[in-house]
Amino acid sequence: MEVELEKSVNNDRVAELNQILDADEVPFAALQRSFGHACEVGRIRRFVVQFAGFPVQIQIVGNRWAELVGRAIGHLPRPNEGQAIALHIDAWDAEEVGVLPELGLVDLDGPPTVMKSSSDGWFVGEERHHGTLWLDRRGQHVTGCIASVDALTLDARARPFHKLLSAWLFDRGVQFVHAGLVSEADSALLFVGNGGAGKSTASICCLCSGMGFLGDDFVGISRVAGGFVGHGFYASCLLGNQHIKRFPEIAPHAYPPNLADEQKHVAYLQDGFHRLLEHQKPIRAIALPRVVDAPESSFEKASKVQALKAIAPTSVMYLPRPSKEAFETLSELVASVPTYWFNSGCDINGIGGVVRSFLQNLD
Amino acid sequence: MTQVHYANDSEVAAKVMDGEAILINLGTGIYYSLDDVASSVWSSIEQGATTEQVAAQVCAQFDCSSERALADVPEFLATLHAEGLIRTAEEEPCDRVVTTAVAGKAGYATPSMEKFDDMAEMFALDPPLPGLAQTNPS
Repeated sequence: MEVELEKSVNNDRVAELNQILDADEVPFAALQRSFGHACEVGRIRRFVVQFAGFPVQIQIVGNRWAELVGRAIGHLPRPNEGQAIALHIDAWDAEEVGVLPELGLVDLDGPPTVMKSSSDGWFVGEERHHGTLWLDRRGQHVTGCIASVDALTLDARARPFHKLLSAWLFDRGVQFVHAGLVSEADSALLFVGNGGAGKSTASICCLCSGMGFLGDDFVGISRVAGGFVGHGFYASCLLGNQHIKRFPEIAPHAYPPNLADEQKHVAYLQDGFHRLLEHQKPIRAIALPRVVDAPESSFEKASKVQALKAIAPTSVMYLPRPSKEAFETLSELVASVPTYWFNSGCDINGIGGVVRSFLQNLD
Repeated sequence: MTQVHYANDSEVAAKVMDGEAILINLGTGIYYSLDDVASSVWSSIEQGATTEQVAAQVCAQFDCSSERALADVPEFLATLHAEGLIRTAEEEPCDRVVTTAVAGKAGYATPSMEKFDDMAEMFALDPPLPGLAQTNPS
C-alpha cells in the first residue's frame, strides 16, 4: 500500500501514526505467549553479541529470518566471560513456523507503520505491515514476530530490530545517528548529510579500498573521556543500481528488494569483508560529502553550523524520541572534532586513498 | 504590561554556532537555518525579550539604524511566531536582556531564515515512538 506523502506534517497525521495505549491494551504478554508456542513448533536460533558493549541475546524461530539476522549482526563481538545479558530479543517468523500471534497480524489496510507506547512509557512498540515488535523497557525484553521473510522491507532486512534497539540504547547513552562511519587504524571519519548527499557512496568506496567499515547509513555514538566513539551495528548496506555496477566486489553479496516500491538492493558484508568490519572507533573528524566537478576528491574546511545542519535534522528526527537532549549531543559532537566538506570528485576509485591519507595526517 | 517573546522551549531545539543558528521543531520535523542577523534575534529571545530589546541588540551588533531594526525585527518575530518557534507572554517590563555592544559592527541585512520540510516524508514513513520521554527506566 502506498502512503500519500504530504509536504508538511500536521498533528493529526502524526497522531494517526503513533498511539498511546492503556496498560491492558499493550500486547506484550500475548506476544510472549505466542513466541512460546512458536518455540514448541520450530527450532530456536540464538545469537549472543554485543551492541555498543552491551550483551544482547537474540532468539529467532524461523530459519530463513534467522539466516538474515545472522548475516546482519553475526560479525559483532561476543560478550566477555561472565557478562550478563542486558537485553533479550525473542521473535519468530509467523509464516515459516505456522504460528500466528495471538492478537493477529497487522492490518494491511492500515498505515504501513504505527508506533505505539503504553501510557506510562514502559512499553513501546512498532507495528508495521511486515511485523510487530514490542520493547519492555523495564524488563529489558523485546518480543514480536514478522509476517514472513518475504514481507520484510529493505530496512528490516539490512537493520533488524533497529528502531527498538535505538530506543533501548538511547536509554544507555548510545545515540543512533544518520551517518556513515569508516576508519583507518584508531581514527574514524563520520560522513554526514541528507539522503543523496553521498554518505553511502563515500563509505562503501572506503570499504572497497580496504578501510575499516562501521556503517554507511546508521551508526551509534556515545560520549567517552575526550570526545566521542562511533559504534557499528550492522554488516550491511543498501545499494542503488548505480552502486551495484560501481562496486563489482560487493555485487555478489547483494540481494534484490522484496517489495515492488523499493529500488535498492541489500548487501551483506560478512562474507567478502569480514576483516574490515569494525564495531567501535574514536571519531576524529566529520565530513560532509558533496559531488564536485573535479578530477580528484579533496577535503575543505566546513563551518560547525554547516556540519550541524548536515547531521542534526535526520539524526534527531529519526530517533524513537526526538529530543533537545539528542540535538545537544550532536552539537557537542560537532564542536568536539574538526569538520570538513568532502568534495567527491570524478575518480570514485580514488576516494578511499584520499580519505585514508586524510585520517593518517589528521592532528 | 508588555509583550515578551520567548523561544518555544518545549518544541524547539536550537543551537547558535559561529553567528548562525540551526533550529529544529521536534513536533513537526521542520528545521530552519538562520543567518547572522536572524541568529542575533534568536539569541535575544532565548532569554526572553521585548521587541525593542531585540532591536536594540541588533543595532549593537550590526551597522543598522534603530528605525530599520524596529521595522525589520517585528516582521521577523511574526515569522518565527507563525512557524511555532516562539511564544509571546504579557509581562511586567524589566531589564532581562543586557545589550552587548560589539566593537566593529558587522554589515546589516534583513534577518532571514531558510525553512526545510524534507523531514516530513521521513515522519510519514517512520514516525517517532510516542510517550518515550515520559519515563526514564534507569
